Amino acid sequence: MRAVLVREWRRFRHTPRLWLLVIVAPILLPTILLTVFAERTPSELPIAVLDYDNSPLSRQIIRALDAAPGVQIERYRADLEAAGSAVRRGEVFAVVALPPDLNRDVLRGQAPRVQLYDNRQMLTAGNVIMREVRTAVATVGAGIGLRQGVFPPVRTENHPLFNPGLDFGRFLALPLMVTLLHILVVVVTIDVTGRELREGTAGAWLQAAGDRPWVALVAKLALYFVWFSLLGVLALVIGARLLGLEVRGSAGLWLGGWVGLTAACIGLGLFLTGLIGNLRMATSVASVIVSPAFAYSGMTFPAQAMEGFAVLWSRLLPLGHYLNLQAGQMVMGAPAASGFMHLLWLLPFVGLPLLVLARWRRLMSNPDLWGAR
Amino acid sequence: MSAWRIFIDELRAALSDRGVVIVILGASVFYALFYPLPYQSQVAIELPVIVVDQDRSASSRDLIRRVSATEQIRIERVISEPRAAEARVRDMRAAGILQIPPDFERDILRRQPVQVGAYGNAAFPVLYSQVVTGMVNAVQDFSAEIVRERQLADGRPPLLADTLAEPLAVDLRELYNPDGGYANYIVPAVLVLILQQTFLIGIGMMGAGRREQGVRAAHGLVDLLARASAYLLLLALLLGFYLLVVYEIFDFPRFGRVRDVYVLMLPFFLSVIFLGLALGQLFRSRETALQTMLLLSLPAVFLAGFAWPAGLMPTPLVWLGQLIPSTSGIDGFVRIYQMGASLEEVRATLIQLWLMAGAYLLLAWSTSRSGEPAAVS
Repeated sequence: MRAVLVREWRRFRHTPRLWLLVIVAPILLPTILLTVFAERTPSELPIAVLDYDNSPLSRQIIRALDAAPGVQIERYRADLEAAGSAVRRGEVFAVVALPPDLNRDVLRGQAPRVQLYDNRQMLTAGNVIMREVRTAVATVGAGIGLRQGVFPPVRTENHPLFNPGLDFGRFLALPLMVTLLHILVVVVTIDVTGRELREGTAGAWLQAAGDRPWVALVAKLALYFVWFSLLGVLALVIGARLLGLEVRGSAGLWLGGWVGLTAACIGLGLFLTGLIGNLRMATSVASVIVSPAFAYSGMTFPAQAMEGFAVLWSRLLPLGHYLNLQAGQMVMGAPAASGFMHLLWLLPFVGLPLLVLARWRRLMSNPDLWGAR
Repeated sequence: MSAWRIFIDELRAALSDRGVVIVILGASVFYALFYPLPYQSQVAIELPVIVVDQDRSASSRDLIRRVSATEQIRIERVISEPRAAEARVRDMRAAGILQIPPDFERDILRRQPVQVGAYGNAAFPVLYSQVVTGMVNAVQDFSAEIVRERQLADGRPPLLADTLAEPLAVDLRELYNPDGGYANYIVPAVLVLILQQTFLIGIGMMGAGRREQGVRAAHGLVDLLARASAYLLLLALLLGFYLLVVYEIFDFPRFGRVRDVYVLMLPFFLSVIFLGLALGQLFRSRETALQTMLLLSLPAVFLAGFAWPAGLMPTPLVWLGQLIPSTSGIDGFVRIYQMGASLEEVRATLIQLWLMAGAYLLLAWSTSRSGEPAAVS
C-alpha cells in the first residue's frame, strides 16, 4: 500500500499535466462559474416600447415598467417593424406595444390589451420579462379598477417556496460547480490509471502493490479521493457562503453526499478504464456519460417532465442523485431520509470496479495490453 | 506539394485515425441525438399539486375543478390541513400547493375580496412558473365568472364582466418559440457547441498525434488553408445533417434560411479549425485535447450568454467569452435560424467572426512555424 502511495506521489509531483488537472482546474473553473452568476437574478433586461396612445395612462404604464427591476426600457420605436428588427439584432428581448385609444378604452370599460411580443427563444430572459410586464400592467390596472369601484373578486397570492426572491442564478451556480468537479474526478481517475497502461508502466505499478490489483487501485486513488473530497467540501461551503445560501436541512448529509459522489466518480472511472483498457477510449466513453449528466439531472428541466429513455437515464446517473440530495438538503430542507435514498444510489457506483477486477489484473500484468492509444 | 494534395492528405489522415473519427463524426452525431432527449417533452405539464381546501364548499370545488382542468396541473390530492402539504413538496411528491382559505364562499357571496395562495417549488424555476401559471389562469377565469354572475344579478349587461375582472390585461405574443419549449431553447445552441468541441478535440488530437510521432504537418499559410478546408468540408456536411435530420427528428421550429446559416457558419467553422490547429501545438499527448475540451464545455456554455444573459456577467468574463468562437457562433446561429434574422441584422456578429477567424489563422500559423512551443505533457 505504502509503496504505491509513495510512487503515486512521485509521479504526481513530476507531471505538470496532473498539477493542472488536480490543482489549477478545480480552483479556476468553479471560480469562473461562480463569477458568471454573481448577479443572482436577471435584471435590467432591455425591452423596447411602442406607445401608440401617448396618453396619461400609457405614460403611467411606461413609468411602471421603468420602475420594474427586471426590465429596462432601452428605446422607443417608431413602428413594430423597427422594433422587431431590434429583437432580431439582439438589442432588446421584447417589445411592449401600447395600442391607440388605450386610455379611452379603459375609461369606457372595453378592456384594452397591452401587447407583449416576448422573445421566447431566450427563455431565461423571456420568462423574467413576461413576469415583470404582467405585474407592472396588472398593478396599473388594479389602480384603475379601484378608482372605478371594482376589483377582481378572487386573486392569487404567489408564494415561491424555498426561494422567495426567485433567484435562479444561485440555484444554478452550485449545481454547475458540482458538475464540473465531478467531470474532473472522472477524468483524473481515468488519466492516472489509464496512462500507466498507455505508457507501459502498469507492471511496476502492480509490483509496488505486492501483486494485488485491488491494492494498486485503492492506493493509487487514495490521495485523489481525499484531495477531491476536501476540495469539494471547501468549494461547496465557500460557494454557498458567496451565494448567500443557507443550509435548511442536514449540512452533514449535503457535504457527505459530495464525498459519496467523489467515490462514485472514482468507481465509475476505474470501471470504465478496466473495461476498456485504453485511456483515450475510456475518456471518450466517460464523456458520453458525464458531459450530458447535468441536462439529465433535472436541475433545469424537471425530471418529472422527462419521457421514455431520459427518465431511466436520469435516475441512473450519480450526478443527478447528488444534485437532488443537495437541492433537498440545501434549499428545501427536505427530510434526511430522502437524502439518504440518494446517497444509497451512489453506492453501487463505488462497487463497480469489483466487476472488472479480474480484467484489471490481466491489464496490469500482460504487456501485450499496454501502449494502446 | 499542391494545396489540393495537402487537402486530400489531411482528409485521409483524419478519417483513417480511429480516435479522431470517433470524436468528430461519432460524437458529433451521437451527442446531437442524445442531448435533446431530456427536453423532448418541451414543457412540463400535469404537475402534481396539493389542494388545501379549508372551505369545502361548492365554490371551492368549482375552483379546484378549474385548476385541475389546466394543462400544467394535476390535482394530487385535496386535504384540509395545511401542515402536511409543504412536507409533500419538500420530498418532491408535489410541485405546488393551492390554498383555499376558510370562509372562501361566504366572502365571495358577501362581495369581499378573497385571496387564494398559489405556492410553487421555486427551488426548480420551471416547476414554479408552470404551477403558478396554471393556478393564476384558473383563478382569473373563476374570478371573471363571479363578476359575470354579479352583473347579471344587478341587472347590468354581462359584456363588461371581463373588463371589470381585469380592466387592463396583457396579451402575450410568443416570438420564435411557441409555448416556451425547453428543447427549442437549449438544443440549437448546444448543437453549435457540439460542433466546436468535437472538432477542437479532433483537430487537437491530430496535432498532438503528429508531435508524438515527430511528424510536422505542412505549415505555410496556404498549407494551413488547405488543411483547414478538409475539416471545413466535414463541418459543412455535419451542419447539413443537423439542419435536415436532427431538426426534423425533434421538430424544432425554425424561421431562417439555410443559405444564411451557412454564410454565418463559414467564419465560425474557420475560427474553430484555426483555434484547433493552434491548440494542437500545445498538447503533447492526444488524450490531453480530449480532457481539456471535456472540462471546458460547461464554462463555454455559460460564457456564451444564451442561458444567462451576458449583460449580467462581470466585464472580464464577457471578454473571455468573446475569445471563444461558440459565443458569437451560437448568438448568430440562433438569431438567423431560430429567429429569422437577416444577414444584415447579424452583421456585427458576422464581422466579429471573420476577425476571429483571421486572428486564429495568424495564431495557428505563427505557432506552427516556431518549431517547439511550450507544451503541456
